[in-house]
Amino acid sequence: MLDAFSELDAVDTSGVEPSYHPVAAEGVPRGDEAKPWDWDPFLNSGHVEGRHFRGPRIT
Amino acid sequence: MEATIGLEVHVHLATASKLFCGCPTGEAEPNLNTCPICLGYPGSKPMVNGRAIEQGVLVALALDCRLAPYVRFSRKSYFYPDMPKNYQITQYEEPLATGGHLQLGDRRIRVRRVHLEEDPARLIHVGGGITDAKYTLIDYNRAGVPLVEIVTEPDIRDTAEARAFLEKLGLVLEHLGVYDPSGEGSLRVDANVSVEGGQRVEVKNITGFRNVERALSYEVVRQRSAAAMGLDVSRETRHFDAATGVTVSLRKKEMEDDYGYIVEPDLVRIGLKPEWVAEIASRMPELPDRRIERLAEQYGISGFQSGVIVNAGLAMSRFYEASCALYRDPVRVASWLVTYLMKSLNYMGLGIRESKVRPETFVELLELIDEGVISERLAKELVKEYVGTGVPPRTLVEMRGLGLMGVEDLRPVVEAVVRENPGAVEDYAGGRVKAVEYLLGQVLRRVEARARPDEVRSLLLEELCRFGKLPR
Amino acid sequence: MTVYESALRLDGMYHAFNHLEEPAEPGSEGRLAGYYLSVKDNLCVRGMPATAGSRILEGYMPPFDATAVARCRAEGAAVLGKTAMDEFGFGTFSVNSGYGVPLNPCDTGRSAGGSSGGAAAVTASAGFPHVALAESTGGSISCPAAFCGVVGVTPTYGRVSRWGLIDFANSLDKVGCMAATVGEAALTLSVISGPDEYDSTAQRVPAPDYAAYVGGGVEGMRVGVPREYFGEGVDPGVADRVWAGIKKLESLGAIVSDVSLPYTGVSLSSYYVVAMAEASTNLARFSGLRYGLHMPLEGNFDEYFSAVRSAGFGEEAKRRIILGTYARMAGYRDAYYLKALRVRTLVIGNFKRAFRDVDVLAAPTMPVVAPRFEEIAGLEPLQHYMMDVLTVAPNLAGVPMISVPCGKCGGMPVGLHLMADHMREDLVMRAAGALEVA
Repeated sequence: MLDAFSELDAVDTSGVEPSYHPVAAEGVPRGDEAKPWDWDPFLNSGHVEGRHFRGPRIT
Repeated sequence: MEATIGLEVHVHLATASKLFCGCPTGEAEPNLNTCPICLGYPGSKPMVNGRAIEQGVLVALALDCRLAPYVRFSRKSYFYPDMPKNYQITQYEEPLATGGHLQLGDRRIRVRRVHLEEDPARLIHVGGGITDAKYTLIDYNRAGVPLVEIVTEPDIRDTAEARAFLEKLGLVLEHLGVYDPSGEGSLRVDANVSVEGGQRVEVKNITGFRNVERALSYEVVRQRSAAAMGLDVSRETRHFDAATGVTVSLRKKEMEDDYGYIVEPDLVRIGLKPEWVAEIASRMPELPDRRIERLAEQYGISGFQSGVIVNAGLAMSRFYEASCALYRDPVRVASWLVTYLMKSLNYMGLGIRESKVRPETFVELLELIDEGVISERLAKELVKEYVGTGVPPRTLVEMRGLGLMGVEDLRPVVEAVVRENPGAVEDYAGGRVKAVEYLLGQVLRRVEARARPDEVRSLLLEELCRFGKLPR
Repeated sequence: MTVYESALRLDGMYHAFNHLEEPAEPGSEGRLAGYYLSVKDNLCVRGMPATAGSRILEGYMPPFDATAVARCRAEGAAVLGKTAMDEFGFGTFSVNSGYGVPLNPCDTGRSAGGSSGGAAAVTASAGFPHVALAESTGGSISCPAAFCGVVGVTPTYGRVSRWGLIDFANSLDKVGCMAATVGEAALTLSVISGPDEYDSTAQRVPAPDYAAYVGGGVEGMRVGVPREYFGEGVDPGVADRVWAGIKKLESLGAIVSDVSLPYTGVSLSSYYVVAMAEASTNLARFSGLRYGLHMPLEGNFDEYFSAVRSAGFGEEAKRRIILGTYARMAGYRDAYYLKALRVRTLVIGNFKRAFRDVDVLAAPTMPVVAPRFEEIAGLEPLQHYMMDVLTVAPNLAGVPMISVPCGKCGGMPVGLHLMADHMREDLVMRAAGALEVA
């Protein structure tokens, strides 16, 4: 796998822009409407306390 | 120069929905304002809020920055329980804007960059503080709320300047309509501090202007003391404990954190087209510096008064202008506002918005004086009660019969005071003209200021004359 | 035998499903009326578990349908279950599955391909009306389709919404489909394609009726054969079958010529760096807090999430997370991540240049037929990756492609790969349709 890294080295990419996506597209942002999602966020979690998610201590 | 300080200010934008999903941004029960996107569910993808971009652009323009041609996001990876995806969608390579400044009088504080990012969740440390809690509770309501981050160059030289910068910045943001100063925790600061060529220390996550000043003061003293004792100040990240007023070490930072940035591959770039930017710029509201000038020009008040009014916040300058629309003398309004009303508000720790004062009722104080119903002195005394209760001054006067007393009611009091103070009367007769002021004070006290001083003075002189006690 | 019983039987033989349930009746109206749908386990179906082939998502119940799934359901399809796959898409033979490993219906001692192995196995053995939803990052639709002898379509990047697809590499992942015939694949593609506000990378172009192109013929169509795709490493028997298919197209009026895609070799390195860099961030969210594998909350956060991830991820996933993280680290980012993205630009350029001269490209889908499981076990990691080289380049470039069965070699199916320019699925449908009837 590390060979793959060195293989890239060998390619001359001067003046070439990176392609973050293969097909060019320009984004259209959405309007600022509050649309609440009707669901139960706790359904998939085993670590819940009241209306909070429980997590381990930080340090 | 006390220190070298750079600030990173994170401000919640005033949008209805979050930055990357349609969840509401307001106050709510824990974890109510959530959806699969802001909870980082597998299969979810971000959707960019256009108004957040527009508000970011307004901030950038107000700070005189250069806008990037595109809005592009990046992933900043690190593991922390307040991060639903364990990466934050932010802007790295190409921030929204760069190279601006904020003017503080004759000092210019340069702004390095302005960019958009999502807020992490809120953590509650149970059974202790951040370093010694038993476990953590997580509320994701805040996760995904849009933030604008404003990063300064290390141009700030002392803690007072840091406070002044934040207050001015907050005022500008408030005028832009992108920031609500009454929101709790809606402005957070990371500060980078070093003294006299020492190491740079980062103090993270300080909430509110006052705490920033406290944290910086403590930190500067701590670093200077260490230097004075010949101790090394390590390059590290610290946390400010608001309860105790000290900064506490969180972790040592030998090298820069490695966030492994990549461009956010679930989003494509959004063009900041000139037409769009022009449309946003055309909606730029009046900013504080211009407002100070305009109020002075338009209402004929002093630059000083105008400054005091504008710096007290948007609500205050709006209150002033609304009052001027209801009363003919804007200079008098300014005078009463600055000298009496604001003083009362400050004394009671009230902001004008939370208080019950209104332009319509405020100008009643001046109207009542003009109509001769009360004296100016009484009006000044009424201010405190008015501010505290919001009861319109006209109502206060009526309820308590505070109107000016007529001459027929005043005369007996004047006569009584003269009778009861022979000493003062003799002084007056002996040539001490000022003795009449003493008598005047006595009368005013008895009538609870419900009389005009000059009217009382002429009644006193009449009485003394009747008595035959005029000075030789 | 009901469809469900039939599915149970084939699952018993080929272990194609991670989850199988008695389906609702398919609708009688809609373009997929009467059809049963199998869904690769990295696409979310509300009410069915989604594991993406990984133990770290054990028990996870998605609260929504993937857009592609919802569109199929809206057109009358009934979901049968979730098909087996390599964990998160990491693999070429579906052996990196945290659940069962799917077997090739043509020879159960051989791999069904990967990472959409289960989808191909069901498609190849279903005796009822069926189409499969699958996903490709580096060739995960084409490879199993070729190995199992079915039709597999990988559309242009962004043609189909990725909402509800559990990400492997966001700039490479495409939702596609498999079917027994080109016509059914084209129909399904039309159903699932189209703009979606929930996916910012989805093309804002409406979906045409792809099935209408299938019978269009190849008279005058220019077919390019990239010489780099017939090099050493391609089994001669496989190459023979593929050439036979190309000749068939020629006999139907296509104009065949030789082309060159010089960046084919290096596309593998570029693909792996980009894919792993993106994957390492996508997988960061799995830390045992809100969904998926949980453990008792002991220790601090670092200890907890490390324990969960160590237990939940397979070896290949761990390897890719480490390598992907490395490729993004400060100091290496320019040399690896950004460099790989620049190489991608060159690879795309190759395809764009070729498509000025030809309408479609034709090549073998895979260099060999489906290998035996013992053979796979003996492959070095680098040899694994070489299996991908023919499919990786078009996947990196995001061009649409279709793998069509093209005869057999040693009793095992051979796939012919047809590729066209971005958003030109119409051309691959025409070529594939012509090959099918010939």
